[in-house]
Amino acid sequence: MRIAILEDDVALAGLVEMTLAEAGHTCEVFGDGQVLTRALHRTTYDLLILDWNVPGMTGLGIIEWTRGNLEVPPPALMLTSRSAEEDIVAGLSAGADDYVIKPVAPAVLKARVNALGRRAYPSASPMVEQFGPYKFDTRADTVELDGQAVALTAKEFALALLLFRNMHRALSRAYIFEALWGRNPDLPTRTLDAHISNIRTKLNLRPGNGFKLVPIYAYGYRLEALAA
Amino acid sequence: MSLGHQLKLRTQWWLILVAASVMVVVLTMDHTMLRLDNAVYDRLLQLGAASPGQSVLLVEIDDESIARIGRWPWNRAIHAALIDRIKAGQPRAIAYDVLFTEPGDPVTDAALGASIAAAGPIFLPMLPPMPTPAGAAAAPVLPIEPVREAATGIGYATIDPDPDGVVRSAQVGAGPGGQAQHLMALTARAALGQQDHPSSMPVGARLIPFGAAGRHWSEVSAAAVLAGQVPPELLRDRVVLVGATATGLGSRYPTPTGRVMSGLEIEANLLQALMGHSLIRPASLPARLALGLLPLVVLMIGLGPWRRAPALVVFLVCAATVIAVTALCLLASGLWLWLPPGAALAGLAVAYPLWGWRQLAVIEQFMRAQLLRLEQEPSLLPRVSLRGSAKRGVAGTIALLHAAIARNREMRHFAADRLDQLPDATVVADLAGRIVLANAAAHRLFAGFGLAIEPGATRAQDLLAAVRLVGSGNPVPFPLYADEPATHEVQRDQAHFYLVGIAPQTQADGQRAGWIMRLVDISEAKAAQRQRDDVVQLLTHDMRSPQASILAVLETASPDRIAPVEASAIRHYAERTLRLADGFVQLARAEYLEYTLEEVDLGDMLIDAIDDLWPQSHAKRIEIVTHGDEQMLVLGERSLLTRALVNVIGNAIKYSPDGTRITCTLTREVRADGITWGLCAIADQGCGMDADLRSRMFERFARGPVGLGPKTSGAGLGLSFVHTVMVRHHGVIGCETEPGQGTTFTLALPIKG
Repeated sequence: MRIAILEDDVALAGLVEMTLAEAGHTCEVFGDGQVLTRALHRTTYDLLILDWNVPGMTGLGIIEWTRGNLEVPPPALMLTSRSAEEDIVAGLSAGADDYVIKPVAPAVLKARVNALGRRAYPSASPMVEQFGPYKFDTRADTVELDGQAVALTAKEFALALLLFRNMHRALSRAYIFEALWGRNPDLPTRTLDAHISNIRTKLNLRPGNGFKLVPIYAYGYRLEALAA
Repeated sequence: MSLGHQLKLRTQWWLILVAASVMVVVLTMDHTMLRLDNAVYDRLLQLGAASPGQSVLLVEIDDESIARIGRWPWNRAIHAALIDRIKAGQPRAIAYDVLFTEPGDPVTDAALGASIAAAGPIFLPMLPPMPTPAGAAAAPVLPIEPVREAATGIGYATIDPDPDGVVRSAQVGAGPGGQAQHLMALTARAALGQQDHPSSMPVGARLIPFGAAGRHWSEVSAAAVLAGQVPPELLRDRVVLVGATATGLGSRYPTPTGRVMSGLEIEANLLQALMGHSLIRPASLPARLALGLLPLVVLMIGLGPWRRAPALVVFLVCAATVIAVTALCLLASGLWLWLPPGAALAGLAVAYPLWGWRQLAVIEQFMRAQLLRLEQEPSLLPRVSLRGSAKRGVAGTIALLHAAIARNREMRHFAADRLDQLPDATVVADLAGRIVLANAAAHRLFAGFGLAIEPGATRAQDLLAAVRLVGSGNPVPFPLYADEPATHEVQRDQAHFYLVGIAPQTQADGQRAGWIMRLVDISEAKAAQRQRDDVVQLLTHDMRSPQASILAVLETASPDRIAPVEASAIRHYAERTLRLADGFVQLARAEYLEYTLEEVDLGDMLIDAIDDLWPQSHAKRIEIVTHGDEQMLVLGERSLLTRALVNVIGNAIKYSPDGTRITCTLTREVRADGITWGLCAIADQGCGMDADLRSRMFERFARGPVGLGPKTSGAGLGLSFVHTVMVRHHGVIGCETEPGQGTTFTLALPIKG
């Protein structure tokens, strides 16, 4: 992917660029928001990695600008040293597709970037999808863990598949609700928490098994595969 | 008004209605109001319009006739000559009101009889029977036989004045003999050509419409007729009425017109009314009772249960209606009916003041009772001395009222004074938002905004327009229809912030009266909050950023530029700085964040925390087991509670030797207060704590034992955070520990439902 990095800290920008280059991406680093918008006029990027506070224009400002000025706004990943949950929610609500808190763990960054790339440029789903030890058969709505069938309800299956297909991506509650239950605003928010709890237990989505289900404050959930 | 007083008032209403009704019935039946009735009757008659009547000619035996012909009584030959003269004029009928009751010269009497017999329809009077002192049966005194036999008919010509001497009525029909009729009735019937139908004339007493009918007759002197000076055309086809009017002959009577009339003139009036069918019928008893009672009932209803107009207006309308109905029946409608209004008017005149008086009396009682009760009520103010309140009657009530008003006035002063002394700007507004009261602080505050408060003119909305809601910058909604008190944070500019509270103002009976609005200056608190936010901002971003950069530099630098040992040390310190910053930020959030509570499962959060710590526990080969997987819903802030569990379990991992086990147990416990608590016990097999550390473990920067356990790295803010979060969730944290025996932390939260 062609990735634009907005980061005024040279060392951090270098680390991000190096990490993503290792993963086979082409990166261009900008230290100024205005410069980045000018570049976005000229050329196309597949993904934007944006620091929150940079000269010229803030990361959120850039997201807003792309929504207003580009026909196909690229997905955006916020890279920020703001660790407070409220800030994260503010970023996601403003239109960021995901976020990574500094300091940057290279493995996490790679996983998140790949997840965003998959979503923005999806490949056709096969009938049988394999995620590590998990095998999802979308024709029969069955899932196997290490060859052993796990009994899931239809909703649990759909939720698990949604999380696996969006591995390393923050999924908002609204997004999950709509994907599973349609536009039904009457469901209590506990419903989703209960389903998450169920599939975590049934599919053993625990770090010991290489997976972690992370609740995101006031936003939703993310499934992470731990680096082996 | 109280129920008792209302009942009393209702009873009195009924009493007055019944008493006045009885009075009206009695007055109607016994003619007590005759004077009033007569006065009204006479007055109305004078107002009446003339109705068309048949022509009548009066032949008067007047002073001139006596002068020319000679003294009275005349020789009957003169009468015979007069009758012959009249007959020659071919009148329609003659009523010759001269008595021929004593026999005279037989030849003359016979000649008179002959003249009468030849005169056509001619009617003569007779005398009604006079009761004799001996009480013998009386008979009417008839004319002498030749005359009696010659006349077409003989009737009474009596005139009966009312007790007040005024002539109003006449017995038209049945005379004392039963069959005989009034002379004028006979004459009228003959003139109208209805001899065959005696029933066509009214029977019984009738009222003569004096004046109403006007004058439709001419008068000539008998002497003129005898002398042949009257043209025959004047007599033709008319009803001729002959009688004496000369001074000293025949009586004169007062009449409703106010004029004194001769008997002949009264008879002319009667005759004309008979021929015009305009005699007035006295109303029957039921009709008179109806006229008397109906207005009374209407008046009482109009004054009592169905009060729509001032009492005086109702009274006047009722009285006017009575008079109007009476006048209408008498004059305007052709009914010729006399409905005496006296009883009705008397009923109204009695009921109206009586009801007013009783009403006042009951109200006075009620007022006194209320005032006395008010007097008993506890007062915020020193009691106003009540001189004369013990007095009974109106004076006592006035004293009570006086005291109540004084108290009210003082209460208002008291309230205004207290309002003025309130430190916060407070205004009281009516339902539409118009300011009723504003205290000194409010005047000062809004004067600072350049707004002058004028009670009655300024509206709360105008004042609120001076500020904007914090955050959105929208105008402050003024709740005109909301029932709930509302609180808004507003700002005047970047430095001045206020908390606006608007609450509905209700009266003692729950009726909405308006609004009370209060503005509290929170600029200082806001400034402090902003400072705190700045510090958190500094820590969360400005301090973390360089640390992240240091780590990035270490990550990208090649080993030959920075030696791995130094790089590892630098990374350690940078990470520790980051943890310190994070810990501080988290603690600040736990302390100052406005919690948005949701239902969360304690078990879910425990799993989240354990998963979060997997790298650490995995690295030390520590097994974390959980017991009790039942759902335990608590109301809480999920991220803070999870982080609290992370901190506790993280501590357990930190202070436990490698390869040990941490046991997390979820249990439920109903305590003495009836509340169900969810307990999460986290037990490690670590180094434990001594009494000194235990006593200060929730303090900031309290660190685990140095040398007692393994070397650890921590900011010392973890348990302080846990403590804060638990307190703000109304939870409890407990700890059991002995050095070397391991530690068990128990987090207890009230379970929802």
